[in-house]
Amino acid sequence: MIKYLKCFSLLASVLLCYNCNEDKTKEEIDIIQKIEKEQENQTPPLFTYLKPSGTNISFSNDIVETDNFNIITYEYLYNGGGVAVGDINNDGLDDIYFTGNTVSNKLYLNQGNFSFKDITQSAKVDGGKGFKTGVTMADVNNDGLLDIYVCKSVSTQDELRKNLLYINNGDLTFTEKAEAYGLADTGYSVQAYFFDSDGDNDLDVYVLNHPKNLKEANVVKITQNENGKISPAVPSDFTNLSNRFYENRVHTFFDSSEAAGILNDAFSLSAVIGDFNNDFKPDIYVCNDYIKPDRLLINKGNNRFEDKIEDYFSHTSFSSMGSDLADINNDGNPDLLTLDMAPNKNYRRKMMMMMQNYDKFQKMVNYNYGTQYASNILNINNGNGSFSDISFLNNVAQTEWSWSVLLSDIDNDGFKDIHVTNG
Amino acid sequence: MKLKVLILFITVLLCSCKEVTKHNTQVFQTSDLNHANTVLLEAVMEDAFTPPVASRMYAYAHLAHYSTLQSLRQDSLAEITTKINGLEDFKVSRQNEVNPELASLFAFSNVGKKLIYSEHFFDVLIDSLKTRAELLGLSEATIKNSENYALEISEQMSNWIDKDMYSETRTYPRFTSTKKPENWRETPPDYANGLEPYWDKIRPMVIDSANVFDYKSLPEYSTDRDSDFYKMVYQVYEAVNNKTEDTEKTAWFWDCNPIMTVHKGHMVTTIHKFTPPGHWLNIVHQVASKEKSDYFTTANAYTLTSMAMFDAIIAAWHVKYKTDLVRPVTFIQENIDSEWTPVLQTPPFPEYTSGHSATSASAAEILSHIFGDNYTFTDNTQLRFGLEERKFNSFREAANQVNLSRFYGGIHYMQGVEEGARQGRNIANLILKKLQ
Repeated sequence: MIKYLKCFSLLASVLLCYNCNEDKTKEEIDIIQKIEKEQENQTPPLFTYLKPSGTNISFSNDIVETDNFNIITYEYLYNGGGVAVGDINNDGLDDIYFTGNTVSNKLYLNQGNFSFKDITQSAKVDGGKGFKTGVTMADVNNDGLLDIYVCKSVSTQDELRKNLLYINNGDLTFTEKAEAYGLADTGYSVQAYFFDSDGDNDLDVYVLNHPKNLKEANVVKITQNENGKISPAVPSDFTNLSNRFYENRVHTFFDSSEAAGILNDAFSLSAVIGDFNNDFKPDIYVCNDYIKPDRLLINKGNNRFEDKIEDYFSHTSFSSMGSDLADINNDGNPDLLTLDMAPNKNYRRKMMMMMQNYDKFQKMVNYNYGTQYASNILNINNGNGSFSDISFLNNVAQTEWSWSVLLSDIDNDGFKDIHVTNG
Repeated sequence: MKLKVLILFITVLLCSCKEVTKHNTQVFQTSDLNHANTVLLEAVMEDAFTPPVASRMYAYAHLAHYSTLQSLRQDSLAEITTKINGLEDFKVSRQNEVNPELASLFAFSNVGKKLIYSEHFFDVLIDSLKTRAELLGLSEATIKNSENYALEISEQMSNWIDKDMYSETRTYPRFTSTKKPENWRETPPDYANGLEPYWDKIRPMVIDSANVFDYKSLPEYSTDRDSDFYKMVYQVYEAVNNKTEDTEKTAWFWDCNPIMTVHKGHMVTTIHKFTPPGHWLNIVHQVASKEKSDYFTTANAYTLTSMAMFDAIIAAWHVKYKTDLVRPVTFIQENIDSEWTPVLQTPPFPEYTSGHSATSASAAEILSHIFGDNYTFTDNTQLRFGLEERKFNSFREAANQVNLSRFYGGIHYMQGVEEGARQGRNIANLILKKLQ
């Protein structure tokens, strides 16, 4: 019966098509042929979705909200975990490590042909207890093998906020040695950035941390400084409050945040490392959420930094979130894109807008909180120590509630493309 | 069976010869007036009007009620309407078959509806008044006449209200702080603009002008630890640092912030409560219920209290923007301790004199005058907001506690609350004198 039905429908469609063709004028046929030709010339999609059934990557960063722990009680709940891609066994294939905020981290070994194997248990890298955030793969101990550094946040217990350093044993297993390396940072960490700050051919690290008191996130706190001048208040103790800079001193890291001049009490969400002033020393741009201004930590050599944000930028994003640095205009100088919460539809924008007024703005400007506007900022590097915001000229100023950005030449045409994640 | 028929017959008979209540019988009770007052307080809270704006709504609605009632029951209430600034020519036409209380409650509702955003509160009130009037046996004609009479008075009141400079002041420039250390500056967490900087341009109801009170001058601004100014601020700093459960509870009991904002990261939630004058009108409600006060005493208490608070706020606001004094939080964070925060949220206007103290003292004077100097009462206004009820031995004791609460709360200096209270008392007594 089904067979008959199939036959019938086939027949019917053939008949229909036949009829249609007959009715078409020559003009219509030309148009159809033209469209078909265009479609033939069109490039296929740049990316292909690979199903978990094929890749064996089934990791999912599931978050279960409760009465006491949800987006209302903790605003950074959905900031996400992290992913690091790198070749952990030097077989020429990139492996993938995911952090799960409340679920187990996962390490997937690349077996070629986009097929992966979950070796989390045997590699001993599940991240343990606590709320895991960002992850970085880097050869921390200079032995030619990629190690894994996992950040932690949220928990009220210091012990559960200790960041982890998984040292690669070279046999697809890892040993957690953060404490031994001096990198068991107990701050509320977001992400770690490994880079050679002092040019001594080992990796130093900048760890992005933030305070926990979200109630004061948008407060302009000013007070008399030692000279009796009113200026932004400086916390008396930066423990579990500040970003940290650790200097690599052969198999052990030394917290030289204070000497480096990077102590802060801002809600940092991302950073980019790059040479902002063409002096061949890596500088750090830190995106700070809420009212605290972003920082441009210019590398002065010898692991010393100086915040020069006001000198290089006329203004910054307000609630800066993601950031990336790349040469947009191919002039040899890296350009900077920072993201904010700026929907392009007027109604949405008004609904998202933080309360701002003339007097608060003036107060921020007067007391070194910087000139901040709620929009993405695409800063073109003028190559002379100054940057120019061209975001409104290029349709990238308002991209909804935007989290992270990647600048990369996706279609290989020689120009950097922009990928923005929203949520 | 026979019995049933008989009962039916009697019932029909009773219904058919049901007597219509005489038009001027007092069928509406104190509880009805209390209910109307509650509707007003709830509507104001829903719309989160600021204390000055709220005081205007309370006072005008209650005055409309009083004037209507007095015009119909001249023996029961003193004539005050023509003693109100701008209402010297207030006139009413003779009306037949009007129920005085119903007409008064209609007038109350009309004026309330005119001033509020959430008009449905009063639409519901008007409907319920009509239904209740029918149930109480008032004839359709009486209800209609009462409505018309109320409308006539409401229109007259409305014209008078429109000339109080409220609309004009809405168009005045926004207030920008001078940014000088001694002056008021926008305070965390909202950094909101100065609230109602031109409120002293609003026509007072009874006092001659906003300037009637001679306030004590302030110590000269100084950051020198030995200066009087520094000491005045330091007292607040210490009061908050040495806070106890008791002082904190006192602060929150009289917080009366119509719109408190709670900031957490990007999220801002707001909590609405009765305003300071709203809190006091709720005290009137409780006292009138407890005392089983007659309708006229209650109307008198509501009207005089709300008018005194309205004038007291105008006078306090006059001093506020004239002296333009820095709030404790600003001075303390800048000069003493950057980590210090007050117990209560600092309201967005200059410190001197305390509006809540002036409001409370004026209300306490009026209520003492009506219910007695040593009147013991319990205030349960804050139960619904999760706080305790409080017992007071007199209205003035409650008002004095308000002074302390603003000081404990870290939002006022001692001089600010003391002078605010003196100002409130002073104005209430001026009003009592003039209206007698």
